[in-house]
Amino acid sequence: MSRVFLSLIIIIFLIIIGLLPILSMVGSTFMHDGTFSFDEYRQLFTDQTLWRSFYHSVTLAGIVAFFATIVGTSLGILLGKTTLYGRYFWVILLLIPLLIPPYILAYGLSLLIQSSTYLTSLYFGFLGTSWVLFTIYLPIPMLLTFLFLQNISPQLEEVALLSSSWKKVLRFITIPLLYPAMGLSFVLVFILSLGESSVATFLRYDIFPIQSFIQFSAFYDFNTATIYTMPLIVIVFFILIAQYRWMPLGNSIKIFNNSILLIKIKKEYLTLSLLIPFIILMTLLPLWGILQKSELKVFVETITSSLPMLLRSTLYASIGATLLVTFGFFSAYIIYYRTSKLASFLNAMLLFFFVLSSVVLGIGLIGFWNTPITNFIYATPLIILIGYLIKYLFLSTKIMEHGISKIPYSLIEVAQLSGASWGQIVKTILIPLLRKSFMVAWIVGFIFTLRESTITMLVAPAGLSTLSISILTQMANGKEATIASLCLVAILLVIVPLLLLLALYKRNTQ
Amino acid sequence: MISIQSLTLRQNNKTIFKDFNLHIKAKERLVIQAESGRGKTTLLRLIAGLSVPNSGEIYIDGKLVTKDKNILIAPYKRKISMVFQDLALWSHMNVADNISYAHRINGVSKTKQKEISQTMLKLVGLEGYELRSIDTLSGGESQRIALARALATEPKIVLMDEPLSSLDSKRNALLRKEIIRLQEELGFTLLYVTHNEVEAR
Amino acid sequence: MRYLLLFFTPLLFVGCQDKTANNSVTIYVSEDQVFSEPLLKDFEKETGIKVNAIYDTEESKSTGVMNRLIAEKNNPQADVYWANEPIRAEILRQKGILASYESPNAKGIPKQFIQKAFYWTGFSARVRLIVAQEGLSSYPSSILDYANPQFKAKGVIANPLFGTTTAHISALFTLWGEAKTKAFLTKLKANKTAISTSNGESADFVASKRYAFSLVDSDDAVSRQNDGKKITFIYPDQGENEVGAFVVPNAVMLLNNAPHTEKGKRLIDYLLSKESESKLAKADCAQIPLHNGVLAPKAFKTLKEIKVMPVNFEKVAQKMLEIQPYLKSWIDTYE
Repeated sequence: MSRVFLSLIIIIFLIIIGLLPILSMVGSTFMHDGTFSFDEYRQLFTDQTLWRSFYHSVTLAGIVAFFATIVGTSLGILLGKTTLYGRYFWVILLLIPLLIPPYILAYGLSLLIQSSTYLTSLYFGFLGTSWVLFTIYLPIPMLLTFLFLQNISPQLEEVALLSSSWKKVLRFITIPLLYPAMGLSFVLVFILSLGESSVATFLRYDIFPIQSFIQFSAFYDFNTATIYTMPLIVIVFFILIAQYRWMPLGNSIKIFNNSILLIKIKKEYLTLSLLIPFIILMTLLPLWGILQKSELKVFVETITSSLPMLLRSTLYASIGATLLVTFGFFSAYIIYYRTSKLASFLNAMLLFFFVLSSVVLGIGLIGFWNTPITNFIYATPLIILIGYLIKYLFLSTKIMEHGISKIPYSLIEVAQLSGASWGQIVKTILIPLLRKSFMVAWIVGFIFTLRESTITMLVAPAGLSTLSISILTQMANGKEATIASLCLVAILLVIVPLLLLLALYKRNTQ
Repeated sequence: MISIQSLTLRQNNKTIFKDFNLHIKAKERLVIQAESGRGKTTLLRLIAGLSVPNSGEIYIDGKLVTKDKNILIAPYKRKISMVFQDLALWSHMNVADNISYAHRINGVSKTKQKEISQTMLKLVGLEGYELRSIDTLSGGESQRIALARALATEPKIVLMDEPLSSLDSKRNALLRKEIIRLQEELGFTLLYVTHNEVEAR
Repeated sequence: MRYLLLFFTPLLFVGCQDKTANNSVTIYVSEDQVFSEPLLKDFEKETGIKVNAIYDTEESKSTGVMNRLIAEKNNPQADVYWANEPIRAEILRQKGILASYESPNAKGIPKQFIQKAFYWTGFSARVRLIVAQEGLSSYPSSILDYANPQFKAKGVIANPLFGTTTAHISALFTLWGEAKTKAFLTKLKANKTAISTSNGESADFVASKRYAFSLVDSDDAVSRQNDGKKITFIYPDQGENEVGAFVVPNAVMLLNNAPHTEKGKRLIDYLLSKESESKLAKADCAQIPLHNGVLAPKAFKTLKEIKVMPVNFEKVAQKMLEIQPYLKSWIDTYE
């Protein structure tokens, strides 16, 4: 089979399982009594309260993106470019909010402050929502900064060091060279905050995705619910076009493997005295809120009684991660080596799925796959795996792409000259050289699929709930100790792969 | 001007320098030619203060600047300029900003900065290049801009790490003459390293 | 290639879980999992039939699984739906999603709580009552006290777009008529009544003394009392010319074209049994049995002891759909 043909099959497969459900959902909103009509869209333009929610969403996303970018980039420089004591440990702690289900963080903080009416009234609303989202998405600019620091040739900084101290080198050389990373961070965090609704729902802040949800759940009007997601889809679409034009977010980003010039910090204790309270506030306090409500006896009981569910969650996440790595490799191959004319389209499609609201994806999947013919998919965990694949394929593809970009093309050309087919080259050259990328992509895929809740909640067949769904259903009148125990398990299941990931990163940069 | 005493450096289980000594007089022009991997670039980095030895002392202008693994005087205080092998021109700044960088960050007025850039560009034969983007320069032009930047701070010592390696032989020869001319005119100590025998001669 | 096969082998187990063949029944549940799951587990133990359940979450406010039923109408996955109130059961009936089934265990349940053609059957009810802080100088006795200037800014009520509050207001529309109900809601707003997101949150607000009183479901009230909170219960509108307390039963129903109809019927019979009602009465949710002879929870009066609002759930469901746009604009203009 030629690689062009295989590339086409993969792209068509992804279109069928991911894009068609969305298009069919969107298409149905233009049909009224069997004829094409814009009538249903009129209310979108006339409903003032809808636009008030939209304003809330855009403001919230903008503020979160702005502060997360500034603080995240600063942390990226502090923890990625200095010799600060224990920096990998601080990175792990700061990563935790990104990797656990968002509502756990919101819930943990709420437990901590529930005795104070004043703090509760501040927390439930805009302030609490923006704080929690800031905490969750802060690691994104931090991680992007780590990545882009490798793009800066050390000599660019060294030549400046001959004229000035590190302070000025950072200001005039390093940070300007990080502007693309900051731009990327802002766009990513903005889009992710725009589509995130579980935190705002928990903290009772009226944002745009909730309006769609109200249509879905209070009015049983699926068409209107879909129409109400369109402004978000349009924004994401325009942002994607803008970044394609000015900033290669989705296209292959060539990340070099420069060693990073480290800055030796004087007066480390001063820096740590600011950093540690910040980390405690961001990550440890909400976890403490959960920990103080949990009881060892209940923890053990919960694990024992939920063992089938926990094993199931882990199994689905493992299979999901494997699928993500496999499709991620082939997608990266197609995009990086441009083995198909649709390579750019594939790139854009994967990014589109990643940033699209999970509610929209879930509704699309139900509408498309719930038919008697496709029952073998819809009524089984395959539908959950499809959800995972569509949502997170962008992440695994970019990780694999990064790995592929580090392999000199001459290695492939030599194999070609020796008579190897593309399949043999993949098997004997690429895959062995990409071992580390496979591991990283698998671990990242595992973490994200384990944490996924919205799509799972919408499509999981009866009797096959996962850990994230169990936590959400327990939140309705369940005992706090039980909820806290399940949250703790969710956190522990994420920390172990996270430690593995960091061990790999450390080995790679030494 | 530069005095290196009993320098020892081991890297990746390889001894680069063992009890190495070197003395370079003020305004002297020294060319070091050796095969790749022998420590030429490392020597320049040690003198500049960008790397540290395992043991030994480095003096510049009579002052102890590096002792064993300690940088006693920071690189930017040593009055040293360096032209790197890959030139290290900042692509987010134009030509004039690259040249006047050191002056800009030390609070020199914009008028004076402009004057300095113009003087340096005239010196290297690239008048009118102030607003050009780094990405639009040819190989030879980039070399000259890197040189202009290195000389803009009126350094006492200029280190050059194979700055002409990417040029063809004709341009290489032309620029070599330029460098010698500038060194004699401005009177700085020059330490030039290369693997090319012809260039060294 | 071998390694790829190794990775994908588990998929076979995952994909082959065909629930139509094995001994199982699927139920979608809007009643809180913490109360409903133990009962379903007991059914499993007693009958050997595996129960596959999907529960609602706090986020979806008890309408999530219902909407999934509507979405799956043309290819039903569930056999039984356990709703926590009958209004939404009525909506499903009107959408043609239910199948009629007269359970033998429905005998003894008051006719008011059974759909006349047996499309759904009520069991284990909650009462909508007023929960108030202890030690108040005066207590509200009617839902109309939300509009009473004496209680200005002291009351809180759950968002009427969701849950049993929607059903309650819809019931008032059918009994009082549009003009009187809208006037009441306007006055309620003008009286600075706060809006919470759920009955549970309302109960928490009263328990924490943030507000003086609230209209909530009885299970929300009793759970706070069991947690040691100092609150008192009032059965609203018990006077001679007053409407009475709104009683909300759970409702169980068989789905049309269900994959396992017979097993679904067995599960319905089980849920409607006196034993099940007794368990739900003794559980923390303290639900009031509809069967005669089943002991009510200690915290509450029996249905015979209170004045019950005379409600036609079919009319209430129709009214609920009609007034949704009005309720949405009412809540959207709330300050």
